[in-house]
Formats: sequence, structure tokens, C-alpha cells
Amino acid sequence: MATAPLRPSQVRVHLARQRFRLRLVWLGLSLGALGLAARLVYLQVIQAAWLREQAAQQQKALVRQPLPRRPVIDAQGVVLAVDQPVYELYAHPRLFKRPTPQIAQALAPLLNRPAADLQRELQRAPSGIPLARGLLPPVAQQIERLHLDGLELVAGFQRVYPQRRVAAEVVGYVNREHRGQAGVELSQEALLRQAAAPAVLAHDGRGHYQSTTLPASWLLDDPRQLQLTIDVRLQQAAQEQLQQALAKFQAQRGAVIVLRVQDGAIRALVVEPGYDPNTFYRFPLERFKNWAVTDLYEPGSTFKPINVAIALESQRVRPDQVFYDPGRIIVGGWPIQNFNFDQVGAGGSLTVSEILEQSSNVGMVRLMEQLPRADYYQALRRLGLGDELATDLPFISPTSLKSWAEFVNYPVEAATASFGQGLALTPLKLAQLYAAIGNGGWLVQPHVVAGLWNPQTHELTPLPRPQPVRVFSQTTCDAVVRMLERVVERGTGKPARIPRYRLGGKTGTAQKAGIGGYRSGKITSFVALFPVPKPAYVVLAVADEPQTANAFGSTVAAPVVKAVIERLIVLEGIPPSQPAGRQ
Amino acid sequence: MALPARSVSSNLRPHSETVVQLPRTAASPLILRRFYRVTQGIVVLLSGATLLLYAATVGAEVRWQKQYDYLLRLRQQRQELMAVTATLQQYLGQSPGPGTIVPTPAQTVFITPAPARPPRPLPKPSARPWPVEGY
Repeated sequence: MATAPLRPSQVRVHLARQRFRLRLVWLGLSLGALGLAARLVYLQVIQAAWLREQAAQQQKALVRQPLPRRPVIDAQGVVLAVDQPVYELYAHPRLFKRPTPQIAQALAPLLNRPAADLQRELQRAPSGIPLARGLLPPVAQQIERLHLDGLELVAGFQRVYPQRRVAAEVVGYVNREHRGQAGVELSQEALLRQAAAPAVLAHDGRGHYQSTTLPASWLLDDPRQLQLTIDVRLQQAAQEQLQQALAKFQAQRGAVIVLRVQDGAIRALVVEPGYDPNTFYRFPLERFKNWAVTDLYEPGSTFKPINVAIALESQRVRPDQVFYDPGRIIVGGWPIQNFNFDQVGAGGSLTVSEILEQSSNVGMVRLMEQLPRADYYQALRRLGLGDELATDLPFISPTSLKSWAEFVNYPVEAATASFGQGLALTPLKLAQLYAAIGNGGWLVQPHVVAGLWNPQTHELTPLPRPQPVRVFSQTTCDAVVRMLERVVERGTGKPARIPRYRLGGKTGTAQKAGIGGYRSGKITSFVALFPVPKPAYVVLAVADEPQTANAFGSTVAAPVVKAVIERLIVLEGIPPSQPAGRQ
Repeated sequence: MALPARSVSSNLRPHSETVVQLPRTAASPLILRRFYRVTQGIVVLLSGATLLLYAATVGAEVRWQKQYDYLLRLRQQRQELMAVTATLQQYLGQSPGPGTIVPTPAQTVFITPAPARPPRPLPKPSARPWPVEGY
């Protein structure tokens, strides 16, 4: 620093220099501001579109709302199928920040696997190793709390069937992709999957969605559940009874159907042997088929009451009419005889009711001969034979009936049809036909889905159903129900009798049709209408190929039906038809 | 804004014989002083608005996200609860073990409703002339 005093001229120069510097700074600042402004214009105007696109790519994503499948419940609200939140664990060793053995060690107790095993698996690939699936939320939280890099938890749902084997044939199961494969899970896929439209959401750096981009519908809750008409308690009882009967008579398979006659609601539908939908992959493929709905069989004697109803409806046969049964006849060159012809010979003169009681084949042929064959065929077609049975269970097969020409031109066709051979239907179709006799002649649609039940508002939204068609008159139905009651009181249906209750039913023991004729195997069945005189339920039991010697509809199927009806009485609180003390 | 007059006098001695005419800094004009006050107000207002805007957007968003996460967690827990309850119910109500009894119609008491009782005839009020007596 100079200490000498400055001269005025020096001061002036000094000030001039300062001013110059000041201007220089000004200029610098102005240029800087101008540069910034230019850059701003460049970014905001020229590059704006491109940058916006870049940002959107980073922040926005097409997201589908992770919605669980709707739960399935029974008529009482018991859960049959429900989605449980689970996690899948993936490892990406490339992103590991800690040594692999350490990570394996930390995960081993949580995944219940030996650490060495995990370590081996972690060395398999650099990324995307599936370590575990079906992890429950508490386990997933524990894994999250480890704060390990390179581990990824993917949230999802797993279908759980708490009732296990009970009602599996109705409910069905879902595969690993969460798609229904059988039963209601398949047929009602559209209702069960809560289809949420995907939405474009913006999220921040931590993956949180921006509230403004989230569709309002995502916040709304649809708690509705798919309610079925079946009752698990009845289903379980029927299953146990059927299992016992199948084991006792060494039968190949069996089915039980309980149908409400008024509306066709299926209260129980059991097919044995069944499967556990939780572990469906452990069972053979044929178990997944609900053959009570899909497979055709020749109903045999259980079809006789339907034929009687057709005959009465045509008014060509009176309920008190008598027919002569020689025990064995020849129709169109083919011999037709009663099942007990070798033991008892001719049946003698029989009323319509006695024909049913004794399950006389020849009597039925004589009875149905009163109808022109074309009329008989027409009546069978009106009942829906030869058509598909419309129901809400999957894999329906059409019932089988001979062609019009065959049926009308060959007398033996009509003759065999009159005792339930030569035509084939599913057990469910037979139950539907009995329901028509029980409800005054209405052909109702058998169904298992009651509708969508809202547990919050206690409202049931029923599904649309076709209008029932009337096929029999009330008089015809009353007459047939009286005859069926006599079958149980005095005829082949005796094993199904329940003290103080009135019920009607019909046994059936039919030969099984195979390729090129009838095989040695038989199919035994019993169908009951309960209670008489105003039936509310059809109960049907079928046992396929029982092996023991004394296997008939009356010995195999009737006791099962009886046990099921007993359970039904208790569950539904059906009062006795006769007061106590009288049998 | 008024800049403070910078002293140039570090080299100048106060006792110098020459009086240097320093550039006079005129008092800042009134309009600038007014402008200064107004901008101060604007700054305060803008800061407040910024804080409010932040609270309304970022703060509310964070709160919303917390609530949304809570909703999702509740939904998840509802599903879990439903599955666990159903499994437990099935376990408890499994096929009857020893000691449990399946009710049968024979054990069930049905109470028939009592027949409707004939309506009890009410004693007819005897037709009495009014007033009875007296008065």
C-alpha cells in the first residue's frame, strides 16, 4: 500500500478504473443472465416436448390394480374359496452388497431351508432366481426388515380352499396363473375376477403413486362375494355317507345330488373320489371332471317314473289301469324280461303303481305301448332329452337320445326306453326331471350360483335365469308322487324309509353300455322326492360299478339317500309328516 | 436499493492540503424507496404462498400416500383374516371325532304349533239404560 498522499489526478484515474471494473462486472452479470434466459428458452420451448416425454417415461407407468378374486361362499356364508395375500421372493445376486453366504444364512431360517442349499441356488444365475413362493405377509415383512439389497418381493394372491375336499367338485380350482380350471371357478371366471381397467399412474422416486393420477374407482371397495346354493354341512354329510357306501360295496365312483325342486338350486353335489383343490397337482386328471354333470349314463329303472308321467300326461293311460306282465316278451325280435324273471316268472296283472313298485320292465313296455311312438319321442324331446342341459357348471354334455327315425321305426327302441335303457343322460338331468315331478311339472334350471352377496349391505344380487317350462300337469305329478311313495313303502325303495316321514323314490340297477353292447358292469342308483305329499327336495345317489354280489340300487344307493335326507331334516328343520307315536 | 457510499479514503490522509471533490451520492429518489418497500412486501407474500403451496401439494400428497398405504394394508389384512378364520372354522368343525354327536331326526324335537284358539267371547256389555239410577 502506498503511504504517500495521492494527487487529485491519481484519484480521478483510480475512480475511472473502478467504474470500468464495475461496468465489466455488470456486463458479466448481464451476459450470464442472458445466457441463463437463452438456456431456459432452449429447455422450455425447444426441448420441452422431448423432455416431457422423458419425464413421463420415468414417472408414469401403466399399472393394473392388484385385486383379489372374489371369495366363494355357501348358502350359510361359510367360505369355500378365498384369496390370501402372498409374496414371491426373487434374488438378484448381481445387486448383492453383502457376501452371498451371509445372505443365505440370513434367509435360511425365514424360508425354512438349509443355508447351504440356498447358497447353491444363489450361485446359479446373476439375476432373477425364484427363491420362494407363497410366502405369508409376516414372513415377507421379516425379509423386508433384513434390508438386503438384491432381494425382490413380489406381492400376489394365492387361492385357499379352507374346506379342502368338501365341495371341491362344485367350487373347482385355479391353476398357478390364478385362472379357474374347474367348477364354479371356471364357469364364473368373469364374475370372480374383479377386472380392473389398467390406469396410467405417475409415481415419485420412492414408488408412491400420485393421488391425482389414481382413478377414483381404485379407492372404492367391492366386497361382494359369490354365493352358492350349496350347504357345506349337507355336502359334508353326503360325502361321508357316499364314501362309506363306495368302500363297502367296492364301487369305482359315486355321486350324490340334492336339488331343491322349486327353483333348481343344488343344495349338495358330491362326486367321489374327489380331490383337494389346495393341492390339485397331486391328483390324477380324471378327478377334476364333475361326472355327475358331464357324463352320460343309462338311467335304467330310475327313469320309469318319468315315463309314467309322460304316459299319464298323454291321457292315454289312467293311474288305476291294469297291465298284464308275462315276465318276458319279445319286441322286434329282441327278448325283454324282468330282472327277477328267472326267480318269480310272470308278474301277473299289475296296476301302474305296482309296475313301479316291482320295477317291472315288461309292465313298463306294455304301459308305454299305449302311446304312439312318435308321441312318446316328442314327449322325451320336450323334457330336453337330446339337448344340452343349461346350468352354471362347466363342461355340460348333451343328453343322448336315438334319432326320430330309429325311435319310431324300431319298436325295440321305444321298448328299451320305457325302462330307461337305450337313452342316456347325466345324473343332474335326471335330478332335474324328478324335480319337475316334485314341483308340479316345471322344468327348472339346476344351478349352484345363488348370486353376488354383499356382506356389508346384506343384499344378494341374483343372476338371471331362464324361465322354467311346464312339462307336466299338477294332477300327473300328484299321481306319480303317490306311486313313488308306495315304492318306498312297499316296493324296492324300502331301505330308504324314515320313521314318521313320508318320501317317495325309485331304485335303479342298470347295465352299463359300452362300445358294441352292454358290459358286465352295472350302475346302481336311487332317486327320492322328499317330503311327500309336497316335495321340496330331490335326493339322488349313484354308485358306479359296485363289485360285491348284493349291490343293487336298494342296497347301495338307497341307504345313502336315507342318511342324506336325515341330515336334511335336521338342517332344514323339516317337521315329521306324522305325529310321534305313529310309525 | 441504495448502495452505501464506499470510502475511497484508505489512501487519503485527512490532513491533506487538497480537498478532493467526492462524487456526491444524492439521496435515493422517492420512487425507488417506495419500490423497495413494495418488493419487500411481495417477498413476504411470495414466501408465505410458497410455504402454503408446498403444504397443499407435497405435504398433502405425503399424507394421502400414507393413508392410501394404510387402506391397502387394511384390505390385505381383511383378506388374510378371512382366509385364517375360514381355515380355523373348518378345523374346528371337521368331521365329528369321538364324543361329538351328529343330530338325527329321531333326536330332534319338533314342536307343532298349538292350534289357533277360538276367540274367547267377550262378555257383552249389557244394554243398560243410562243413567242407571240415581241422579
